[in-house]
Amino acid sequence: MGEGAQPVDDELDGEPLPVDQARLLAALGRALGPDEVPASLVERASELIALKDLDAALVALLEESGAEPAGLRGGADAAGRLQFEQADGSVAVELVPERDRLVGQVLAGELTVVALESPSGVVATAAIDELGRFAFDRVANGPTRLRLAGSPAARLTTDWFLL
Amino acid sequence: MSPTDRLSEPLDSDLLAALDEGGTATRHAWSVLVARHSPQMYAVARSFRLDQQTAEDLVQTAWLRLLDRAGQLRDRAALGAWLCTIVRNEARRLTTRRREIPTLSPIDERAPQGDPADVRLLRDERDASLRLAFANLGAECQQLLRLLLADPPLSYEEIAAALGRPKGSLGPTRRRCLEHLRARLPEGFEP
Repeated sequence: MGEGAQPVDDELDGEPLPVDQARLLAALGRALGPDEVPASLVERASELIALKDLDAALVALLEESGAEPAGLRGGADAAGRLQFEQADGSVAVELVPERDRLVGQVLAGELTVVALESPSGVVATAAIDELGRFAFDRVANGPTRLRLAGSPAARLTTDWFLL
Repeated sequence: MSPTDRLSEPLDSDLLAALDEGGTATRHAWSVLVARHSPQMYAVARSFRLDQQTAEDLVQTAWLRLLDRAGQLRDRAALGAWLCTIVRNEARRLTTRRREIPTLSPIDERAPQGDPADVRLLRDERDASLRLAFANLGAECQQLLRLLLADPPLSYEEIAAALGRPKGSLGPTRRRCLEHLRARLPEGFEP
């Protein structure tokens, strides 16, 4: 039968959890029931190792706010806008996920083609217009990144993000 | 958290180093890391009230980030908290954008079954009171309590990372949240 999870322990940074609070927390755990982890979770993540080093020649465009979690800067703005930038500032891309659509703009760098990738490979490609704009229609939810190419031979990917 | 029964198991820092060895060693190290941390990451995603599919995708996204960044981690021993922070950041970005993401009400969730009818009736009633009181808590308290109840448990470093708060604030906040919970229960309620 489903027994709720117990509290981690009775001590949290020197603050002991009184017995009645511990009982209340345990009762809440039983009342809410366990939240089963999907069976496919670990297996799917294990398979991702196949993607390692396929892109050794590519340079990553790092998400501005998430590059180093220890130094959180802001995070997402109200529109859920994503900004990626190369460390030296030579390439920058902005993305705005809309409902079933993804629009973006190249803010810096000479880029001509952009591809949308899922863990299983390229999903779609789009041209970048003279103003640096591009768009993908009918994009599916799931882990996603952009692969960008241009001149002279800039080949880049963005960080993975979730659509 | 470093329970003594884990002493014989490889450390996260060693497994991260093994990712660069290639071949079987890389795949093995990756599968150990993934099995060790994925359930906690899933609990963090779910604590943002994301549906199962979105939470699972979020865990995959965080692992993909690690794949790209494994060589840049400053503190390899703090991998669990790092992964929880990635999940938190992406969850917040998603929840600000995807307002239509299905969220779950604690009242909808079913209670465990399996006891004699009279015991069950009494417990169903108490569980319903608890779920109702929980549903009336603020979002921050709900999130903290869910993280404290996750199974397998999260370390306090991971919970702090998931909440984006200092570890030292967790104890006092836990106490206040449980007080709020009790205040919302019927008079004379005994857990």
